[in-house]
Parts: sequence; structure tokens; C-alpha cells
Amino acid sequence: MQQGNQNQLDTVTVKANRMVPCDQLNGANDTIQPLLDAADKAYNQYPLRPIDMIWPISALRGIRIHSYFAAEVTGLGAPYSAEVSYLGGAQVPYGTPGSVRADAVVGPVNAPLYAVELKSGFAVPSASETAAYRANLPPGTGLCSIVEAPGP
Amino acid sequence: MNKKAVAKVLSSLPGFRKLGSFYIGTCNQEVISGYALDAPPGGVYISRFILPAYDRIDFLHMSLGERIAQFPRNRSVSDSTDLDLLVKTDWQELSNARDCRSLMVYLDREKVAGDYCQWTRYLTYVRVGDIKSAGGLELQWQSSPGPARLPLIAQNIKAVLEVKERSGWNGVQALLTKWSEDTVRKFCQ
Repeated sequence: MQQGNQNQLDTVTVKANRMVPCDQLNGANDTIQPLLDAADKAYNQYPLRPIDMIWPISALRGIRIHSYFAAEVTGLGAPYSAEVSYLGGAQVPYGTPGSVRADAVVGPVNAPLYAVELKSGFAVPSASETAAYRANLPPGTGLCSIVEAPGP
Repeated sequence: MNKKAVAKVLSSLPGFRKLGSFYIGTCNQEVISGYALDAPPGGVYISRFILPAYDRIDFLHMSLGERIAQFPRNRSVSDSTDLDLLVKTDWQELSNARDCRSLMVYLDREKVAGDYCQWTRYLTYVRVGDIKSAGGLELQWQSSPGPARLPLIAQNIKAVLEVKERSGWNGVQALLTKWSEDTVRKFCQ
């Protein structure tokens, strides 16, 4: 019985910490498509090969995809910004201890509408990653993820 | 442009001091300002930053600034001569904000928004003795049910309100003076 309750609790916690897919985020309908297109372009630029499933090749591909995505987002201009880091709700430089880095944000950088986490390969945002975002993004910022959907 | 080239331009600004990723041009008892070099994997970005020294500042941040230049990796955008000119031109404007009154002018001119901007306005009203405006902002906070405050300022609001309860506005002004001295000790020396 106790085990059952623990499982339920784990399920509830994981669900609460799960990141919403960007195409389902409330309030993002008018602005999300260019980001989804940018992600598609980045994924297609570096198609997933069997060797890309092996570390560290997988990490290298991830870096390339993120760099490509960042350049695409920068090219979109306002209201899109690429690679913005936050600590305690404030924008800080990349690498600041304890900070999180959103792959893109939409809206004013200091009070964004929402932040986007991009994942490559079969990776998905973890519960701890989501919790770190919640703790460090400015209050009221929406959060969603773009996850690669590899073909068969 | 890569991180090294951008860092070289920022390092060459006359009178600037490097502190981590920040290049500090103005640092006194009222204002800290300059530029931050932000270099995540996908590009290099330069952001303007400016902060009221009379806040309790644990770390420097760009809440009142904005990105003024961005260089996506592997895409040729500009050369260092252009960047040098861009930063120097920007600094001509930004360096005018050297005290709390000109900081307010900057916030209005740049139409800075967000919680930290409102917090800065509140602290500045207290600092210059405009208690009526400070009290007005305080009432706004208490009546607005919006999302929680920035974690960054939540504990500082608490400290201010405790001192105000105990010692009134004079006590709060003394607290801001202490915070200003702490900031100077931490970031300006």
C-alpha cells in the first residue's frame, strides 16, 4: 500500500515537472511556428545517423544543432532571442553558477512570454531540468520544449 | 566574431575594469554600469548592464540592460572596427547615467520594464526622499495579485519592509546607504 502511494506520488511529481511541448503551450500560438521551423531546419541540417546515438558523437551533433538553431533564432529578430541565461529571475551571462540557459525566449528578455528548451536525438527535458527552469526564469514566464522526432 | 575578438574590443575600452564576464565602466555609490560578454555555445552576445548600487547585489546581472550586439557562431556579421564604434557610441549614452536621478532618466528613455525596473524605481524614490512615490509603488505591489516577485528581489523587499516597520523611511534610507557601501566594496575596488 505504501509502495503504491509512493508510486502515485512519483507519478504526480513527474507530471508536475514535465515540460509542455511548444506546439501545445497556451499563449504561444501566434509566435511558435518560426521556432518550430528553425528547429526543423537545424535537425535536417544534421540528420540523425546510427553513429549519432553513441557518445560523444551524440553530444557533438547536439552542439551543432543548438548552434544552428541559435543562429536561426537570432536571424528572426524581435521578439525572439537566442540563448538567454537566467539566475533568480535575472538575465546573466552564460556560465554563471546556478543559472539556466533557455535556447530561445519570446518577448522582452527581462520578462519573456515563454522560454524554449530544444532537445536533440532521443533526449527529453528531465524533471530536475524543468525544476531549475522554474526556479530561475522570471516569474510568469511560460516554458516549453521542442523535442526531435527521429524517423523510423 | 569569436569570443576572443569581442573580449579584446571590450578590454580596450578606456577606464573599464573586467570582473568575470562583466566590463565595468562606471562604479560609484549610486550606479554600476558597463557591458557583459555572454558567450554560450551558439554565439557571442554583448549586453549593456546598469544597476542601482544602493540595492543589495549578490551578483551582477543585465535586468535593466539589453543586447546591443550578437554574433552567431560561424556566421560573419561584422568586424571588430564596427563593433568598437558601436560600443563606444553606446557608451557615450550609457555613461551619462552616473547617479540615481540619471538612472531614472535612463529607465524612462529606454522604456525598461519588468519587476526589477519597478524595484529600482522604488529604491531610487527612497534614496532621493520622494517618499510619496515610494509609498505609491509599495501600495501597488500589495494590491496586485500577479505572479510572485523575482526571487532576486523578494528577500530585499522583506528587509526593507522590516526596517521601515522598525525605523520608518529614515531607517530605509540608512539601509540603502549601507547596501551602497557594500556594493562599492564588493564590485568597485
